[in-house]
Amino acid sequence: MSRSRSRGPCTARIIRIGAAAIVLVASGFGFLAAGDAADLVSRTVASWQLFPSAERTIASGLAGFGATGFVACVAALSVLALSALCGRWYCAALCPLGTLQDLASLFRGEKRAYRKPHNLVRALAFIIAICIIALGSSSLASWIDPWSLFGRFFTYDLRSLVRLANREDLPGLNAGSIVAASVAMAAILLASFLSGRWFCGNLCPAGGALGVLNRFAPLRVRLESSACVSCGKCASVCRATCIDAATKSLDSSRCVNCLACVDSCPTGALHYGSSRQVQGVVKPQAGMSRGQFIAVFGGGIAAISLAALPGRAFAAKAIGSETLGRDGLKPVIPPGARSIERFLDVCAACGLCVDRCPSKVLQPSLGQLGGRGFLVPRLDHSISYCQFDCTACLDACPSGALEKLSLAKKRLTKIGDARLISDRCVVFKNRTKCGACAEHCPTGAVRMIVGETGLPEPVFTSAICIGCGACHHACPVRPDRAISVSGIAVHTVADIPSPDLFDAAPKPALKAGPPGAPTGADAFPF
Amino acid sequence: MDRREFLKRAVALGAAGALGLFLGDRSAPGRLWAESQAPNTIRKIPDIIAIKGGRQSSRLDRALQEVGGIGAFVRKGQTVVIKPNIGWSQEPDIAATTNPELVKRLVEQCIQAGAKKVWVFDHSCDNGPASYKTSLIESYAKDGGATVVPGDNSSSYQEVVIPGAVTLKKTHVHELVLEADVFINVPVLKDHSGAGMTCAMKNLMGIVWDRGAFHAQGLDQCIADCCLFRRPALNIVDAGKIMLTGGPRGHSGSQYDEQQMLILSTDIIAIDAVSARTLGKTPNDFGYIAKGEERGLGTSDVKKLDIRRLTV
Repeated sequence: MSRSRSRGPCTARIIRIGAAAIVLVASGFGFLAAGDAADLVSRTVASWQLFPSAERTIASGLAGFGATGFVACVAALSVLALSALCGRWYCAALCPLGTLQDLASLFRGEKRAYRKPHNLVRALAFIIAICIIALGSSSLASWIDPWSLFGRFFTYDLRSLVRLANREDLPGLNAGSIVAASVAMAAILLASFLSGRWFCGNLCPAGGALGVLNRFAPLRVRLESSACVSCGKCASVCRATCIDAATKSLDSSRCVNCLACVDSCPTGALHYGSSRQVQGVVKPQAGMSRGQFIAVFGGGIAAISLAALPGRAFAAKAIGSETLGRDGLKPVIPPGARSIERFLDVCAACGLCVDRCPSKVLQPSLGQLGGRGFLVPRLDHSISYCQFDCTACLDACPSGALEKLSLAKKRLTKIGDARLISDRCVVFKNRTKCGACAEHCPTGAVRMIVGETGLPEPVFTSAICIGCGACHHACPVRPDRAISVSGIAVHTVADIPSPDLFDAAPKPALKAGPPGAPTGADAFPF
Repeated sequence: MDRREFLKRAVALGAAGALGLFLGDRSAPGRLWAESQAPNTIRKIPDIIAIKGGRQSSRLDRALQEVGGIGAFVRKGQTVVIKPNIGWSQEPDIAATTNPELVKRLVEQCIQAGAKKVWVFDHSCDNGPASYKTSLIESYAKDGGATVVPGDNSSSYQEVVIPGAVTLKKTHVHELVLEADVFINVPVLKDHSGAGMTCAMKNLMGIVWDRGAFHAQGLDQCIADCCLFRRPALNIVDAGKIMLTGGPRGHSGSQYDEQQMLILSTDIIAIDAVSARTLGKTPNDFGYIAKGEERGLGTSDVKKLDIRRLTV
């Protein structure tokens, strides 16, 4: 039953390392590559991430629990069930940030030692995160969500580097998102270099929840103290710093199921599986007791729930809300967000929609959506416009902040409204032809009709405008455009354009030619 | 062509163009390009060849037969750049973009004539990759053997001087237009909310990076100026299904004229003039046609044109 180190990694560990590598590579590909395959891969990986899928379950539940909510619910429950039965495999294999941390800690080598859990930090991090969500800003709470941290780093830092290397344009590149994403990532990787999975054991809310389940999982890493000789080899390889060789105890609430200890143990005291023998005495575990957990988390959450509603208004005031942009324009948020309030509530600002947006119109907010919405995506029409036949952001969103909409529904979702200021328009000002707005408008809300100038002049119908920003982007007038799009706080449904919308324009004769030209099926019009 | 070589060429072109203007020869800038890759035209070809009936590919084949084959313009070992209209992320049936079957057949013809390389690109108005994909031009052109090149990257565009231009004296043009031996313009004819009509001249707006400058500085003049930069060896107009209203993007209520026609010409003014007729208008309705004719780009008087009308 003894296992020597020379026997190499156990099967379970090989599976873990393989799965972790696949998820990390898939995540990297999903964020850094372009095209349908990358869209699919990133969406698939994202849909299994605990924080966003839990959010999506809650968000979809509130919204009537459609098919996507069901999928998210299944994903979240599967991860929870897996952890409750088989231990923290999520942290060991499914979380790409976990694997990144493991890579960083490889540089350190096997020089680790047991550390006590920071129970106050753990409890406070969890409670503060839930408080912030309850007060209406998932994007701020998600600064301790591994998926969002991973996504921001890949979207704002690595994807920009890939674009740079490809000599692609980098519209919307801004220091705010780059610095925020890289500082957070640097801090986590440094912590990981210094003390392994410190983030996972002390800050991560997914890790916290799964740690509780891991304590009671039938299958998990177990330390049979009767076989332990306190040699300390396990503790030196434990990236979770959760094995105390001196007291022959293992803190299951922080164990990330990496299985390195199992391979290192010379006596076979450590193994992954069910308990080998029923022992008369349950060994005391390091870390928080069950009672402490329930008291701290339960009490905290109850308190927040009571305080949240009146606190929201105060919080919104304290950290600032949406600001008006240049020319008095309100921020525009993507279709599927439903309203700014709901969007800020749910969006974890992982950046995946920004990453997948083909036109790059989606950009992280740096104050346009207030303090609550730091890095929450919004449409920047100076860069591009929302593509009429595209649902990439809706398809990508793992948190449910962007509801899945069919293309037909998305095309009628009004996210903003255009404003036409004729005095600024080149047709009136310069008396030259333009029509850039109308030619880009996908619904016909802006169209050109020959007017008093004798030139085609823009005419606008708000009811069929969806606020995509095509006209805004195309308008050549600077600095403030003749036609611009301002966001609306609550999205609505636009009218279906009338089929005779363009009949008001002078209709060309269907067949015409010079006098005497031949007519008939083979007739030439000239 | 590397950047340095390009700059030399651009400066030389600019200087020669200015000299040409000084000497009063307005068509000199166009001729410069023509001399460097003079189409080896053996027989006199009509000003306009118009083919009706059949399919997109059979119309093209018939039209090229009239000029003695594409070999009259594309010689063995030459590089070709084809500029269709891929402005919008719209399906071929909307006819907002050049028909993909036509593009594919043209690519095949160029390759059969021995072209070393055939590039296809456009600076789309909608998102580039989406427009390339939805219009089916990317997949059809690749099937035909072309290299499809993105047009949505500013680094592909190089600053040029347009000799003889009135307003658009400088702009950034896609490097392929500078690099290729043969330049073929393959627009789709349709209604256009701003310019009135988009056809061969307006299609060349897609070789530049900053289209907004055209709108800001005067659309008609800039379209005409842009055509001065490099005259396409051939203009081939897709007038198969013509969008009459709701152009250029196309809307659910757009009306169409099923002309089943293809028009071919080396004269960009003449081809736009007959296309204006096809839309039920006259060349005089479009300021850019007159402005282009003033700069010596061609003839807009349909009565003066030698037109060959054929049916397949």
